[in-house]
Amino acid sequence: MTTRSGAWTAVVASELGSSHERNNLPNQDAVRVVASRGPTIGLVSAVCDGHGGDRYVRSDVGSRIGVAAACAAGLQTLDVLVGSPQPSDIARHLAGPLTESIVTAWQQAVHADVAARDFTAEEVDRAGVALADEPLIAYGCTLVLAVVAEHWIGIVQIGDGDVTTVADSDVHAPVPTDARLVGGETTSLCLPSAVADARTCVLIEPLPEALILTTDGYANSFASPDWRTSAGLDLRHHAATLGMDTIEALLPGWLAESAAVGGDDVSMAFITRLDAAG
Amino acid sequence: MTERPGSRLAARPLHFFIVADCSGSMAADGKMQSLNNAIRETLPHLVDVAAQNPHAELLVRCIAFSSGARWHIESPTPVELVEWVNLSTGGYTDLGAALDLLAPQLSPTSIESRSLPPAVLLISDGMPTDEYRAALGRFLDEPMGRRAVRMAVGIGRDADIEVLERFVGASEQGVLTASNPEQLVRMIRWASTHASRVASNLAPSDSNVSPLSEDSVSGAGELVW
Repeated sequence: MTTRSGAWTAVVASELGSSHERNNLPNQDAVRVVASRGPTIGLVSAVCDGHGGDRYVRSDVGSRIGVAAACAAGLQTLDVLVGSPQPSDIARHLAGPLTESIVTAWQQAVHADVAARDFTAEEVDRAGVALADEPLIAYGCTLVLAVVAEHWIGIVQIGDGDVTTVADSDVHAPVPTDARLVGGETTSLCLPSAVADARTCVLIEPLPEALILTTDGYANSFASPDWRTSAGLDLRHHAATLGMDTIEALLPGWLAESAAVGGDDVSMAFITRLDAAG
Repeated sequence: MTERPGSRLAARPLHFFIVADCSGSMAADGKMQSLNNAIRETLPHLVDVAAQNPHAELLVRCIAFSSGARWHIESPTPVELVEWVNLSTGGYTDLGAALDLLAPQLSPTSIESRSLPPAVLLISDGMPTDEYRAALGRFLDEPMGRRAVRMAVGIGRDADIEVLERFVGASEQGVLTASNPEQLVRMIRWASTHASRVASNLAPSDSNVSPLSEDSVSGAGELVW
């Protein structure tokens, strides 16, 4: 179902990659959106992408923990940054308390999960290492989080994945790039450097009409490196003409096409102020 | 029916490089003929691997090195379209030149960012005759070089296994040896298909299957190399 708060409407979907399906692997992505119930109108959405390799035997769980921890921390941010906060204050909060609280909550939840159910012999065998020594690694995943208020948007990203904004005919990637993220290498929530590795950005008015969070399986399914422009503009057009309830019904099928061709799990959170049905 | 947002979808490129020693010593005892036969026999198996992984487009290139290095197949060629032209022999064993020809192809400006990690198969029967260590460093300095699935096949007793091990790095099964034509076919086939399988896997699993247990060959020919 669509999630609405103030002017914003969001839909999310996640589809299993064809490569994972052939290998009997679960969807290692997770996606979530929640609307604020506090004093600040807005919503919070997150996508996580579990690393998937043998070493990361519970990365699907790590992803689910990741979106839960990020959304909970994001809602707290909406409660803290009430009124019209200065962009510099938002930026400091994103890079500091918000990121720190996400990483801490993720680590605590992972440790709780391990305490509740030890690694199985099959998992240890599959990983090829003693998982109990470094349990966080087994749950490794990336994170993209958007905290969307009425007059500002804050974004936190750890690892790969994409954030796309659309305003009229302008499509942008607002998050600073990380030159280390090449060849499939990525930073991660599971690393000791997770807080330092976080990239953040603040968007202020005029805000974009649409914000799209995706795991890297989406971008990698397109033949063109300029995938972002056409995908962003098309989604904006569909939101303005079809409405978000229709997009919610169509989104899983669209993502399934990407997941089938590119092979990887594909997840998207699509957030917009242009809901034809709204 | 509402059109899917975005432009054309496509399988992800998987670049497979064969780096073949074409030095003069490869002419001895029919080694080069055997290598050509082995690669020709392997190609249909690679087509099968590609068919099993439709999310990856397996693209083949080949570098021949002897006195210097040159492209034998320069354009990334879909595996099903490769028509193998025999390699020929003559000259030294300039592995460094081969790696310096390969490394720029793996730079972020050359290789598509959406590519799967490449697979590189090095085949040699001797010791490098140029300064290959610095070239290996340059190759490994490229992120896609480090991430590449690297395999090597040493042909005969004069192959420098230490060099091949240095090339493949920590890979447990990265260096295979062949002492006769039958073994060479088996090793090239196994190394190629294994590397392609691993590289095309979005959730890589370090297979414990070895070429001998997977494809035990009874009555392998007598040792000739």
